[in-house]
Amino acid sequence: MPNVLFANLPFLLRGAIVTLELSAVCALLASAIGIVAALAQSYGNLVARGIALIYLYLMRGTPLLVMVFAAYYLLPYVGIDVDPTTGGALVVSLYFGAFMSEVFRAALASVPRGQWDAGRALGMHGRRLMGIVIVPQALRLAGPPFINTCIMLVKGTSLVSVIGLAELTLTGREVVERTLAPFQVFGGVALIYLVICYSLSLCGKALETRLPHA
Amino acid sequence: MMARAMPVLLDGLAVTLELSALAIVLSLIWGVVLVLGRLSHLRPLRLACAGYLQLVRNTPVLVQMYFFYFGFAMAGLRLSGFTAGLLAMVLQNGGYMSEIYRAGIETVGARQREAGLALGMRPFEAFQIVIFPQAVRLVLPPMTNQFVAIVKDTALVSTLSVADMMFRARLLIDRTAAAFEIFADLTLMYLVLTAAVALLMRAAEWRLGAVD
Amino acid sequence: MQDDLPSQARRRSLTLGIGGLAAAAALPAAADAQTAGGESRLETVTKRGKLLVATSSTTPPLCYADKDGTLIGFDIDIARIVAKSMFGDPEKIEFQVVDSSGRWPAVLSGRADFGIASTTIYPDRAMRVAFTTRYMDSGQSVLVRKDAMIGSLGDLNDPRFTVADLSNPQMADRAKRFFPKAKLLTFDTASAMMLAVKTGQAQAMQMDTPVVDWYAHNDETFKVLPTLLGNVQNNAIFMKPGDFTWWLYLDTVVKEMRTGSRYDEYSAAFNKWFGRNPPPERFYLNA
Repeated sequence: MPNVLFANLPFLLRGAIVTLELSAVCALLASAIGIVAALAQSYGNLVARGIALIYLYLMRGTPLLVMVFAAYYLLPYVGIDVDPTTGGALVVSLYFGAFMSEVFRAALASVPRGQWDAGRALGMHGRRLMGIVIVPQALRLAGPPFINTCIMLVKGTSLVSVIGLAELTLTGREVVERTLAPFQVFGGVALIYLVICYSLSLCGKALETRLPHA
Repeated sequence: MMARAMPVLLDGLAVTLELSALAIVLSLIWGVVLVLGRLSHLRPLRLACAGYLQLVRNTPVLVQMYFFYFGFAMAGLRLSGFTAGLLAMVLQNGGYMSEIYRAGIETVGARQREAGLALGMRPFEAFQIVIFPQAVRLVLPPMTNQFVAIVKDTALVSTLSVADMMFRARLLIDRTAAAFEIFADLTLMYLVLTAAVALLMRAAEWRLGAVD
Repeated sequence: MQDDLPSQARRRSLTLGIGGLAAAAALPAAADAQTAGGESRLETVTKRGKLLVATSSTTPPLCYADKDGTLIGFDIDIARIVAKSMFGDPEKIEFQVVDSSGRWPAVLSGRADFGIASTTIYPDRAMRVAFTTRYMDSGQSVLVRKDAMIGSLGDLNDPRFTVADLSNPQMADRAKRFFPKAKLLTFDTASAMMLAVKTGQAQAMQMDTPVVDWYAHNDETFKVLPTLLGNVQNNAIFMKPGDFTWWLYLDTVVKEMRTGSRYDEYSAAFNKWFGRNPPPERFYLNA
């Protein structure tokens, strides 16, 4: 029975690599978007804050699947040409950018009041204060929830399978439909995701213990 | 076209609502069962629950749904798309709920219980009067997020041919090519749904906060 | 639903997306598949040196993936004959995999030069995409599980049975016409439908005759119902409308495949995948 799984393992692992690559790219992009949105929300002017809030509201209230399909169907009908890889990466990054922004915003807010006062007492203002005192501490505080969001992101990439990007879930479906062994193969796919995400969570735990708390 | 698409999407709304409501209620219950196991005195039970949690948190819901729908059917147990989707959602969100409960209970924690005992209450009384209300207030915000996540996850069952809003929207787009209008409608409906859930929970928070 | 002209809806989508002024200027350009410079896709492809073709990876024996993920099938071979006709090399081609609903955006957006994906010609579709002449006969058949004891279409019309469909309107219409009482499951690929039947989630599926025949031939649990759902139909290459030069070229190649200079290659592919000669088109080409 497990023979089906082992016979197709190389093929599935190729899908897993695509998942990992996609997740890495999206995590980077989402973090960038998240930082910008968090800063806009906390320190931006009215317009910046407005845009950030609208963006956050949209991402938090719309299912990722809807957005994935929208990118796939809408853009071509409007005339913009986007392939599943680019479209999928953009949508996933945009979606999880909202979650990342929440992570960073909460981290910024959790830096103790005293740190701001101490920094100002030492004569630091604005960007120096942020860069030397506040942001490093915020980043440390952000560590564990950041890893959690990354795990959510990896799981989120499975949705891009529905528009044809050959990551792990779609690869799994193709194998299932060829071998007609859904129990073994989908089970195996779940296990591969488990390995990936559990490893990430272990990194998160390691970060928690290594990094000194503020 | 936007107006003409609405009735079709509203047909799907009933399914989306039904699935969301069932998933929320069953996750709440399953979460209680899990947290009792997670915090039990029996080590094997604790470990089993912790293992279960790792399993559901680290696997995508979509894969779980495919597994329950196609995998079980192949093995002889035929679940409808609705049931398979519901099962996957409850198993996963029940896990997240149990963690929320656990965080609430542990945060309010030992000190409060000691305080209650010092005041002469029995352990169960202490739990009821001191710990539980505080835990409930702590727990409501993350629960709101979880409920919203559940409503959004219901869209996934469209891949198992369940006639929810997402499914109907896709079929309609195939037929009419009015992709923009239909997606606008669909997004609007999900935004309204999630906003409604968030508002309801905010009202619940307010009432519970006002009581204390 | 059919009272709203799809082309009308598409134009409204374009307007909303691009915005007032831009839309007014862009409309004629967007509707016309030729680029702003007036270049036909034929020139574009010739300059590019390879074809970009949208196809399915889940519709055996026409277009599917083998266990290494390589695309194979009759449609694939037809596309390669086109590539060979253009460049002398059947490998000068790149396939983009799409599902049943994704094939239209793939060609309409210009991402693919044409699509070949077990696609049947229907007038509704012809309002949105351009079809060449047919490259093969098709039709719609019903695959059933042997253990479901379904002997004919009439038997299938029963609420006890579940039928798997593709997510296109023609399938839904046929279901309503031929077996309205049966329950329906809708998927986005032929292989997902087959998986549903294989696992018992459905007892039957409707799909293009060659696909149904292939599944039944390769799996003991299936058989094919003797009646076609409707008439014999045509499978054809499809592309974005408006580019006459490109359409004329592809149409010419397909005609030459079926009845002229490319008949040998066409016949070889046909024999490879269907085990027989193509149906006779001229009295002096033997059956």
